[in-house]
Amino acid sequence: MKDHDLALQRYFDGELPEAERASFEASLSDEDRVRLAVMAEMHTALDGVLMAEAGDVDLWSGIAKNLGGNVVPIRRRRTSLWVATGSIIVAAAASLFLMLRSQSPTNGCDVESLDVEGATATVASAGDGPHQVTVIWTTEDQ
Amino acid sequence: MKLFAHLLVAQLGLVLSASAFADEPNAKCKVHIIHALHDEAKSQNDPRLDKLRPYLQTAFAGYKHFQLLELKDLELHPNTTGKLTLPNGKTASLTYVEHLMRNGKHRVRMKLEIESGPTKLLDTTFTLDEGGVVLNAGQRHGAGMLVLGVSCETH
Repeated sequence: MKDHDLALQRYFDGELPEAERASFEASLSDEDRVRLAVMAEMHTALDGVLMAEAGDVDLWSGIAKNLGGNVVPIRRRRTSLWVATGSIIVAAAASLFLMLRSQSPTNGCDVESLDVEGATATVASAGDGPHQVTVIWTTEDQ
Repeated sequence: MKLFAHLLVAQLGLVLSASAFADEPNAKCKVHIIHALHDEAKSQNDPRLDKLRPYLQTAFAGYKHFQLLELKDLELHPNTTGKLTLPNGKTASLTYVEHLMRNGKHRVRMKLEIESGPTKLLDTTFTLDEGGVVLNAGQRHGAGMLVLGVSCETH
């Protein structure tokens, strides 16, 4: 990850010292602001997904309002956030290779690699029991 | 003599690799190209979507109607690719990488790529039980979105 990307992530996570934060904020480009907006969107969506793990909740609204049912991320939060971060980097016209290994999909699908360019992608497992299915959600950057 | 030995080894390698592929069964894959719509159905449900409909209704609860735009049957040899042109002008390629066994189950390793002009939007490799389904969603199309449903059988 480039220094600037790392700083952007630290800024987003609230990890920059106050003085550094102010100067970094002043230096944000339009592209940075778009990336921050996407990070916030993904963060909200993943929070929703994680909540869904604990109960029956209408899910996934942050990523796509219409992906419903009992949706859980194939990866845990840390990795999912990493995936989200990777997607944002991809949104900045980079290409990122992400190695994923699913934990417990019951439809027998293991997503082993996911490489996106000019798009964001998220892998989720939707549904329960016999109708559980793996969804690879791809959204093209605007 | 040395050159002959090299050629012999190369030839043997080709024969062995060809025989390894020959042992692997072909994969019969179905790619359902589906238009997910928010509106209620104006037409009857397509029976060719009967198998996938429960998955679609579970995964995409916000969509009311799923219209099958195209059903592609692909018979693929190991390491071969079937190409599809999607209704939104993008292209999708499905490559049968290899056949696997896990816990007595037949599985396939597949590679799905979606391209928009020179941009490879998606390049993913996954393994799937025979008869299992993986859905790719999110591409906008008309008033809804495109969903690709991929499932394969080898026996």
